[in-house]
Amino acid sequence: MSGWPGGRFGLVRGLILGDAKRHPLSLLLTVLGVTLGVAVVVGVDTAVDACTRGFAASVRSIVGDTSHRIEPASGTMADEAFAELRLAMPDLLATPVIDRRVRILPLEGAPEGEPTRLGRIIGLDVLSAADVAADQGIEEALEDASFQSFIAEPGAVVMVKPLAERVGAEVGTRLRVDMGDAVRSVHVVSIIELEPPARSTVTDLMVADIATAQELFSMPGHLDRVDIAPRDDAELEAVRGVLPVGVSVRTLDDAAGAIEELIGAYRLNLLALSFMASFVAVFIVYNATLIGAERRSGTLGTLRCVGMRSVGIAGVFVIEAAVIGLIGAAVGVFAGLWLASGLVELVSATIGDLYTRVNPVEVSLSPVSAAKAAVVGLVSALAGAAAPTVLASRTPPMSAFRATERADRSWAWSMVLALAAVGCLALAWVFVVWPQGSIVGAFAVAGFTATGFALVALPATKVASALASVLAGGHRSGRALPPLLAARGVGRSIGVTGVAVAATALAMAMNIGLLTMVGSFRHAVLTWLDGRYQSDLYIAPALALEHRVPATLSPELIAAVEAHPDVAGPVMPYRHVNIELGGLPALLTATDLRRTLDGGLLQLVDGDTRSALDALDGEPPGAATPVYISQPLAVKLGFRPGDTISLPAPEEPFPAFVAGVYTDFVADRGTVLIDRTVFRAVWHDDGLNAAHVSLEPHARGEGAAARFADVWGAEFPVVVHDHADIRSETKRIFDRTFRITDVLAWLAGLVALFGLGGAVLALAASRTRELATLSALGMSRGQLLARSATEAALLGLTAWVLALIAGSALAWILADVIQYRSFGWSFPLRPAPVSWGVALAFVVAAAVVGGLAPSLLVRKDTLVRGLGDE
Amino acid sequence: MMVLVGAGSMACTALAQPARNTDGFLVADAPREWSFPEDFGRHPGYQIEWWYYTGNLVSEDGREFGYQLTFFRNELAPGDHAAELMNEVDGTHVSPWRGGEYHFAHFAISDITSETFFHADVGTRGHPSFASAADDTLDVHLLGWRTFLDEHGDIRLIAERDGHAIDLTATIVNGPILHGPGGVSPKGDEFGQASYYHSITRLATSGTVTTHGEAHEVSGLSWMDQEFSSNQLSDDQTGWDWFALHLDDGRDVMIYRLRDTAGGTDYAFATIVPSPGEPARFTTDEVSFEPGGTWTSPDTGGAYPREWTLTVGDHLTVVVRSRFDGQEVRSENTGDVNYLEAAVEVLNVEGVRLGTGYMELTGYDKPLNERL
Amino acid sequence: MTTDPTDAPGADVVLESVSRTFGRGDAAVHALRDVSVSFAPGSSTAVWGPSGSGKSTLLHVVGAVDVPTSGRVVVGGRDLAAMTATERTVFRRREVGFVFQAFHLVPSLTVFENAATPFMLDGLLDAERREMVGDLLDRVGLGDKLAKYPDQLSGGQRQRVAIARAVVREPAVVLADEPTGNLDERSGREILELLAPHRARSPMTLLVATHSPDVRDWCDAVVSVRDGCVAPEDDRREPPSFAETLAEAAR
Repeated sequence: MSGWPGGRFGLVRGLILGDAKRHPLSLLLTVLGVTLGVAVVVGVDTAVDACTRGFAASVRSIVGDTSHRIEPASGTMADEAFAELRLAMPDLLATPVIDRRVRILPLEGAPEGEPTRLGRIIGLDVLSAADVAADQGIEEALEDASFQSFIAEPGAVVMVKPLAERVGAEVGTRLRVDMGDAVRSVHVVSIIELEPPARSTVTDLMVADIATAQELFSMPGHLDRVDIAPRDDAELEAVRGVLPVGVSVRTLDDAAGAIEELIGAYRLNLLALSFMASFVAVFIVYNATLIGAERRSGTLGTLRCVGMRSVGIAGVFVIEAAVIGLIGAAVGVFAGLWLASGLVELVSATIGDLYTRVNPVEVSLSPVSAAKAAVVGLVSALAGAAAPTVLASRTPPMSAFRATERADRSWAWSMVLALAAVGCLALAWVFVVWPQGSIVGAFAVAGFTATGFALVALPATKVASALASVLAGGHRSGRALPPLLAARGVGRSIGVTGVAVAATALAMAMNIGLLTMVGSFRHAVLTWLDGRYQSDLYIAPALALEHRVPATLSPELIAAVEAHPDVAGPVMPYRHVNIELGGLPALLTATDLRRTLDGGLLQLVDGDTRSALDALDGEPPGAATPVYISQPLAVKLGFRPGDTISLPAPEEPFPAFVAGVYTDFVADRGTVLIDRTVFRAVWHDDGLNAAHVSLEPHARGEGAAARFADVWGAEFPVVVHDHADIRSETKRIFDRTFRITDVLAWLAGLVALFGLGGAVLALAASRTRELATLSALGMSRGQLLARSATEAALLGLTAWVLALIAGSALAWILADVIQYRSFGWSFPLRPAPVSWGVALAFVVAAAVVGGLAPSLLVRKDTLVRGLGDE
Repeated sequence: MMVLVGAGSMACTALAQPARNTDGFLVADAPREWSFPEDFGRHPGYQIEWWYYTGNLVSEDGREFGYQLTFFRNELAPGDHAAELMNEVDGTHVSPWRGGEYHFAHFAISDITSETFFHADVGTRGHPSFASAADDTLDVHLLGWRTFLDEHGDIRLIAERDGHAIDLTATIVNGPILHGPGGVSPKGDEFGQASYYHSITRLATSGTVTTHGEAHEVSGLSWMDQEFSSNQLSDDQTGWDWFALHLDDGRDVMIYRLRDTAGGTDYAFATIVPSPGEPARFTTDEVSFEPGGTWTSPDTGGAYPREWTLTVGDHLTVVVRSRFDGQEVRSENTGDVNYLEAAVEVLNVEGVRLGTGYMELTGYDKPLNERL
Repeated sequence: MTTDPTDAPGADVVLESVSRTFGRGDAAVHALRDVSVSFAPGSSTAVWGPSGSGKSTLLHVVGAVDVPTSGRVVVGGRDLAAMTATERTVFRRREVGFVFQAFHLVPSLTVFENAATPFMLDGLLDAERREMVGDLLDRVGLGDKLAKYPDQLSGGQRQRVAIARAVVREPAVVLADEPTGNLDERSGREILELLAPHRARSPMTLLVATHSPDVRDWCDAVVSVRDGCVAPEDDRREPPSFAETLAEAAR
C-alpha cells in the first residue's frame, strides 16, 4: 500500500470501513453472495471427492501393499492363471482374489421389515498375501483355532466390526447371505477392527478364504483377479511379459480412476451447478459494488478533487472486493462443507443408482478445494467488482453532473454490442458445423451462445426501453409518468440494466434449457423403455436390483420358470459382461437376437434386421456373426452398419460385423448386442443376469409379478417385476439423477431476484436526487414504487423473452451437441412450458422485489438530503 | 483317510481313535503298517510332510555336482477332517483350494567343480492342478516341479528355475527302509515328538543337470527321505544336524541329532544300512558329533561347521567335510528358513576318501524352533 | 413590479415557533430555532442569510418537504402538521412550486415533459394543458427545444425549464432555493424576470432563499435568517464574506 501516502490511506480506510459501517446489510449481502458461490463450488467438489475417495479407498484399503490388479478382460480367470504367474515369478507378492458384493439377509428372529444389508466378501489366500493380511490385522484375528476354522470350514468368514454391529453378528453367528444366484450360509469365525484409514472406509467387509469364496459364489477354480505388489517397474514389466491372453494389469489408481470416468456424465450436471453458483456470486458482487459506488460517488468526487488519481479509486474498490472475496471464501468453505455433508448422500445415491455402489468417506476439505475456494472467492469478487470499479474510478472531480446526467451514449454502445453478439453467435455456429466436433467444441458452442445472448441483452434492453417509452406515450396520454420514467430510465442506464437483463436472461435460459433437455430426455427414455420392455415379467437377482451389483440368476431358477405352466415359451435371456472396446469400457450383452429383432425390441437408428437374420440363418454360409451396437458406443467409436469389429473373447479376438445401431439409454457405457448362442460357444459362459418372461394370456394382468415373486422368490434370491415397476424405477433413478437441476432452477431464480432487484436498487441509488426532486414535486410513494416495479418488470420481461430464445438454443445445444457428443444420445426436443412459467414467476417475483427495493433507500431524511446540493 | 496302525507294543492304544495334538493333528506316536508304493503318497492329518532328495553326480568329463530337491506339504488344518467338512458344501461347488494345504519346495544345485551354489524356492496353497501330492503313490508336483514314479518303477525328478535345472531318473538300489520300529523316528522324549520316517537310501541316478543354461549329462547316487509328523522340535531344541552318506563299501549311513540350546546333543539317532542286510539303528548314547572349522554366511550370519567327525558306537568313525563353502539355502518366499544343504565327501580319520553324501545343518542363524 | 397582491392573493404563509433539529444530543444541529414569521399572500420575500443559516430548511418546512421538530406551519389556512404524508404529497404537487439552485431536472424526460411533470403526476395533461405548457415554454424562450433532454441545454436554459415546471400549475406558493446560485449574474436576473409575468397572472406567494443582494433587492420584503433564527426585519446587511463564513464554520 506504499502507493498511498499515510494520510490518504486513512481516507481509503474510511471510505471502505465507514461505508461498511453505515451499510452493514449491503456488505453482508455481498459477502453472502461470494459465500454462496464458494459454498456450492466447495460443496459439490467435496461431496464428489468424498464419493470418489470412498470408492478409491474401498479399492485400495483391503489389499494394503498391493498396488496392481491382474484382471481378465471379461468374466473370471482360472486358478491356473495364478499358478502360471506364481511359477513364472515365484518372488512376486500375489494373491488370488474374489471380490463381490452380497446381500445379507436379516438374522432369524429379526424384527419384521429389517432391511437386507449390502456387504462385500473378499476371498483371498492369506498365506499368499501374508503381508497384506498382517497389515490389516487379519492375521492376528485368525490366531489359533479361528485360523483353522477360517481355512477349513466352508462358509467361514472374518467380519469387520462395523458390519458385525450393523447386522448383529458375533463370533459363531450364522448368517444367510444372498450371493446373487443363491442364498448361502456363512458363519463368523472372527470379528476384526481394520487399521485406519480402512477402519472408517471399509465398513461392509467380510474376508473369506479363497476356497470359501469360490464355493459361496459357485465358481470353483475361478478368480475375479489377482492382486500383486511388484517391487519395482522392472518386476511390473516382467509381470506384463508373462500374463496369459485376455488378462491385463491395472494399477489400483486405474481401478479407482474408472469411477471418475463413469461419473463423468453426472459430473457435468454438477459442474453446471458450480458454474451457475459462481455466476450468481459474480453478479451479486457486481450489483453490490455498483450500488456502493453510486452511493459513494460524492465522496469519490471529493477524493478526486483533493488529488486522488483514478488508479487510487480503483485500488480502493479492488481492495474492498479482495477483502470481501476472502471473507466470503472463508465463510464459504464452512458453508460448503456443511452443504457437502448433505449433498454427499444425494451424490453417492445417484452414483449408486447409475453406476456402482460407493461408500463415501467422511467429508473433509482437501487443500485443492480450499485453494479453489480462495480462487473462486477472489475471482468472483474481483470479476464482479471490475466494471463498477472502472466506472467509479472515472468519477470526475466534484462533478455537478451525476453519472445519469452525462450524455447518453447508450445507443452507440448498443450497436457495438449487438455486432459483438452477432459475432459470438456466428462463432457458436462455426463450432456446431465443425466436422470434427469434440466435447470441447460442444462447450465452445455453449459458451459462445451464452456470451452472444449476454451481449445481445444490452441492445435488447435498449430496444425494449424505447418500445416501452412509445407505449407509455408520455405527454400524449398524460397519465403515465411512472411508466414513462421507468421506460426511459431503463434505457438510459443500460450499463446497469443491460447487465442485469443479461445475467437474469442467462440464468433463466440455463434453467429453461436444462429443463427442456431433461424433460425431452425423460420422455425419450420412457418411450424407449416402452418399446424395449414388452414382455410380461422381468426377473433379475435381488442383489442386482437392490444394490446394482452384477449378479447372475441360478440355472435352476430358469429351469423352474420355464417349467411353470403359466409361462409361455422359453425366457428371453440377458447376459451382460464388461468388455473393453476401442479403449472404452462397454457392455457385451448376449440375448436371443432373433427374437429381439423379430419382436421389434430395438429402435434402429441405422442399419437393418435383414442382414442379421440372414447371418443367423447361416446365409450366406460362413457369414460373420452379426452384432448391434448402441448409439452411444457407435457415435463414440464411429461404427457404422457393415463395419467389422473385433470383440475381446477369452481365447482370441472374435470378429463380428455391425448389423445396425440402436437407441439405448440403458447404461453409462455402450452396449454390443450379440446372439447368445454364439456367446455361449465363444465365451464359455452360461450365466444370465436377467430374463424376460412371457405369460400365457390367462395368467397376465395386475398382480402377476407379485404372484410369481411368491412362487420363485421363496426359493431363489430373485426379484420379479412387471412393466409398471420398471417404469417407475426408471423414473425414480432418472429423477434422482437430475434432482440437481432443481437446485439450478433455484439458483436461476436467485439470479433473477438479485439481478433485477439489484439493478433497480442500483438505479435508485444513482438517482437519490431525482427521487427527492420528484418527491418534492409531489410524486407519491405509490408512484415511486410503480415506477420501480415497472422498471423491474420491463427488465424482467426483456430477460424472459431473451431467456425463452436463449433457453431453446441452449436446450438444443445440451441435447444435440453436448449430450450427443459426450454420451452419443440423441432424442427429439420437446418444449417445456413449465420452465417458461417458472421463469415468468421469477420475473414477477423480481418485479415485486424490485418495486420495493427503492423504499429501502428512501428514508425520512433522504428527501431533504437528496435536495441538497452537497 | 484311514491310517492303518500296524502291530507293535502300542497297537492297542490306536484301535479306537488315533492320537492328536492340541491343534487336532495326528501325531507319530505308534508304529504303523507300511505299504509301498501307496505310502509314497501323502498322509493327511499330519501337519508337515516332505519328500527330500539329495545326490552327488558327476558328468562324463568329470565335473561334479550336488543337488537337493525337497517338496513340503504343510496342512493348515487337519486334512483328514476336510472330507467331513466338505460335505457341508454343495458337492458341485467344492473349491480346488479347499484342501487347506500349503505346498512349497526347495531346489539347489552345488556346482562343486566351480564351487558355485544355486538355490530357489517356491510355494503356494495346495491346488489339485498345480500343487498337490497323490494319495496312493509317489506323485508330488508344485508349479512344474515334480517327482513321481515312472512306468518302470523308477523315480523321476524334475525342477527348473532361471537356467538351472535337473531332469533325473533314479533307480531304487536300496530301500525303502524304516528308521525305527513301524517307521516311528523319535525326536525327543515329549508326547508325539516323533515322525514317521523312511528312506530310499541309495538311488542310482542319471540324467541332466543344467547350470546357467548349460546341460550336463550326469550320473551318480541319490538319497530320498519321506517324513511326516506334527510336532518335531520341542521348545528347547534349536535345530538339527543331519547326514546322509553313501560309502564306497556299499553301506548307506543316516545320522542326525537335535541340538539343545547349549549347542550339544539333545537327541541323536543313526541308521546304518549294510548292502545287503538289515538296517542297524543307534540312539543318543551311541552317536557322537565333533564339529570342526566354521564358515559364516555373509547373508544370514549363520556360523556353520565345515567338517564333522562322526562316530557311531564302534561301527563307524568318519570325517564329513563340506565340498565348498556357501551352500546355504535361504527360503525367502517360503517361510524364511535358512540352512546349510551341503554336498560332502566322507573321509576316514587319515583323510582317505570313503564316499560322498549330504549334510543338512539347521538353526545356525537363529533357533529353528522359533520358526516352525 | 406590476403585481397587485390584493387582486388575487396567493396563500398566506405563517410559521409559529417552528424549530427543526437534525440529529440528537451533542451532534444535534439546530437548523431553525423557534422561528415565528409570516408572509403575506402574493408577496415576494427574500429569505436572506449566509450558507447554513437555515434558509433551505425554512423553505423545506413551508413546502412540506420537511416537517418541523416543533411549531406550526400554516399555509393558506391549512396546518401542514395536521396533514398525512399523502396529503402533504398532494399539497406539494398542487400548491407548491419548487425552484432549485441545481435545477434538478429529470434527465430522462424531455424539456416539455419536465415542465409538464406537475400535470402528469396528476394525470391531468389534456390538450388544453399541453398547450399551456407549450405556451409557457415558448414564453421562457424554449419553444424550439421541447423535445430536447436536459443534458442538451445550458445552465440558464435548464433553470428556465425548472421555473416553468414550478409555475406551470399556478401554485399558491413558489419556493426558490438559490435559483440564481449556479448562474452568472445576467442569467440570474433574467430568470427572476421570468417570474414576474406569472405573478401578474396568478398571484403567488414567493419565497426566495438567497444571499445575492440583487435578488434581495428584487423582492418585496426581506427576512433575514442567522443561526436558525429570524433576525430583525430590516437587517439588510451584506451577507458575510467567504472569509467570514469560513471563520464562522471554524467556530
